Amino acid sequence: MTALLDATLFFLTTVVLFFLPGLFVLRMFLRNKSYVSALTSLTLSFALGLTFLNFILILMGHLGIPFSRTSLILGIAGSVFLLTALSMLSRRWLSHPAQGDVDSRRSFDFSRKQTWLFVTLLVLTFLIKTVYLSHAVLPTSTDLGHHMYWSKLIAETKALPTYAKQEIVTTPDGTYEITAPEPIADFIIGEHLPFSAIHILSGLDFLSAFPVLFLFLINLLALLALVAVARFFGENLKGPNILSRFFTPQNIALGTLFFFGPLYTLASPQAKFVSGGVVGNTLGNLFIPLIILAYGRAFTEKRSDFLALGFFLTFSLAYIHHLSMLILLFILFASVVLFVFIHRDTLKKTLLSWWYLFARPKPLLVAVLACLFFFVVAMPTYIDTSAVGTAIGTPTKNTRTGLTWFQVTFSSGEARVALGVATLLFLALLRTRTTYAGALLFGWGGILFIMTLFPHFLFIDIPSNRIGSYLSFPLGILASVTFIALLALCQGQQKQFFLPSSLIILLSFSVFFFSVGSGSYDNSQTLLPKSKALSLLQTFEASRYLKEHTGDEDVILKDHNYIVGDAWMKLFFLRDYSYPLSRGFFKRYEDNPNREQCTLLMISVPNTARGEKCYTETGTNFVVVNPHFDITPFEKSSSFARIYASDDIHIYARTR
Amino acid sequence: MNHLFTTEKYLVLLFLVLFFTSAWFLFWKNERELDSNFEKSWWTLSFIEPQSKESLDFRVDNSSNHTTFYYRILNGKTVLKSESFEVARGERRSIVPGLSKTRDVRTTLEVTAGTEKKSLYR
Repeated sequence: MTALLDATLFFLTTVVLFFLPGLFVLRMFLRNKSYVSALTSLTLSFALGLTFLNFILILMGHLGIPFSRTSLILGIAGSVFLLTALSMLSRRWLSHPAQGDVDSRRSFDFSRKQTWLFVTLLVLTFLIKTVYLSHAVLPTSTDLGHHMYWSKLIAETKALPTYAKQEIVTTPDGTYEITAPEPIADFIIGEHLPFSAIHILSGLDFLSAFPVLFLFLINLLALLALVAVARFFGENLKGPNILSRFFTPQNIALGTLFFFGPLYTLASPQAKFVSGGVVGNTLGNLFIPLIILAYGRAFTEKRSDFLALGFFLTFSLAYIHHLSMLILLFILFASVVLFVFIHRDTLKKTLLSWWYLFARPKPLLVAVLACLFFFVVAMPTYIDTSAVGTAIGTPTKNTRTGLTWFQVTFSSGEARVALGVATLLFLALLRTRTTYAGALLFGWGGILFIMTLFPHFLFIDIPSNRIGSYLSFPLGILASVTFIALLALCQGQQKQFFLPSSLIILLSFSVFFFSVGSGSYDNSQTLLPKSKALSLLQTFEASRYLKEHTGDEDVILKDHNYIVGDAWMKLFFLRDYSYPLSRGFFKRYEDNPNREQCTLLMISVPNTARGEKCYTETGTNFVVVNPHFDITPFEKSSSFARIYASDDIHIYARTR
Repeated sequence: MNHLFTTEKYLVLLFLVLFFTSAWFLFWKNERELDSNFEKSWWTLSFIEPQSKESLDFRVDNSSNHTTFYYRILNGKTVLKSESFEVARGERRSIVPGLSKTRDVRTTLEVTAGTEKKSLYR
């Protein structure tokens, strides 16, 4: 009964916070609801609602208005009312000539068979993801724990946070000390405000299933966004040299659902990112296809409202995730360069058409408001810190010098890479490569290939596997194009390609079974072996005990290597992002000798002179460890008392 | 065309229904997993005053099938006190043995439930 209540609360909260306000904003951009399909409206409404919520909360935070249930509802309702009123007034003042071919855009136009196939693929997708998440929904993941610390801090303090953390440093005279909080660039406000808002409005606990479920919703909507953008590509790539009977936008959209739905649905960047709490990437994977769709339709159909929508979503992404923003900028840059290169003979005409599209009220208004917000209200935190500088330059570590082909096929899936690369090459030969859709698809896939395999060509200094996780999206769409093209060949027009029909049928079946095999194998590799619930409960119980019995003068150290869900311990204290202090992965200390060593020494060798010096100078007086790995040095020492014991957690207090 | 647009609205509805069903299931699964007493058997032992250097008062939080516990307080190898006590499943019980840690000697508290033993010391 509690679960039903929680699910209902969560569902209604997402509707009130995201879908409804987003729908209002969408109607402001696109007056006629038939401009986009119902499924695309759903996805766009959510993304716009999230954008709207983020900007309102940032504004409220800067005005000093505390975040509460009342201020949240009044803020959203008031802003929606204000924008609706402005929109109605602008409708009177500005004339809006009809733009684009409305009727042809109103829906996916699925036939009955296609609708049933869509339903089947969607149900399968939900089923596989839900089964996987049923083993991974527990709040154990490190990344999600880090993110939820900030979200809970925002909800508890009712204000915007200062992204900073304490560190252990060695002073010039050789003593260790814990610094005052210093700014960090790893986090961006737009990743955390939505979770805070859900908690404030619904009262759902951060230690419940809601954070993972929210990411699950974003992941599913990203899937719909990919289907929508695939349909757009399918529509605009169709040319006289591609078979038309089966090679339809609807089938390419369904092919995309096939490649991202039941197949490869668990591996990164899908369900695994959801359970792993990779908030920024998951949000980025929703926004990037939607932004490409908005720009694609803006330039293809000469629609300034879609251009304004693209600007708004792009600006929003800047406040959500820096890496996704960087990837998007590269994609757009590559697409523009490609389009300009192809149309170099008519460059003046092209640039003029872009200017006419931009110099319209909506894009100009969004651009002006975005600039005002950026310079007057708040800049993304990574602009102030050194994050931009550290991402650009010659790759500095082995993990940043690019992935091998083998690694790319491993991370993106063999079938998607094989078919995707084939389409990328095939696309270069098509006449439709000259369209905006061709440039965007080629730019999206091509630039991510270069960034993943040869980052030094573009002076990218970011872990290559993180960039590689973005590659699977364009590859999946490209793979879908090849897959549908092959099936189209089976439909009887094979003679154009000078291949016997039996060979084409054999080839199509091979591709189908190869894809299903590769995608399913990928899924099976991602399934989790067993539940960590019992260990997690012990971590939470130990955290409650320490919260109850320690104060501001105490310093707690815990181990990250062997304690389940240890990153979530900080949610019990909300004292600092680095509190409790943590012994990180051993490799981190080996890889970086300049890293502070106290957190390692205080657990691994607490009785040595350096270990004791660390304890004394940092003031650490409680240690949380897993008794299966780390108790011997504490047992032997007369400096520690064991004050708490469960099967997987021991707590020691320093007695001198 | 109208028919097709309506069909797509049903797809949106289907998406929302499927998501709600998944959310309900996952909330249910998560609540069951985070329920200390559901298909789990564990207990914790802790000092009531962790900051104290002498107090041996302790508590047991029981989420196991054991209800009878037995404790011993040892000074080195010498047993100072032993007693059994009851804690029902899902309950917490504080025990005050009426003893304090002896100076310069490790004083150990051992608690046994069935074959499971946990210990604390000062």
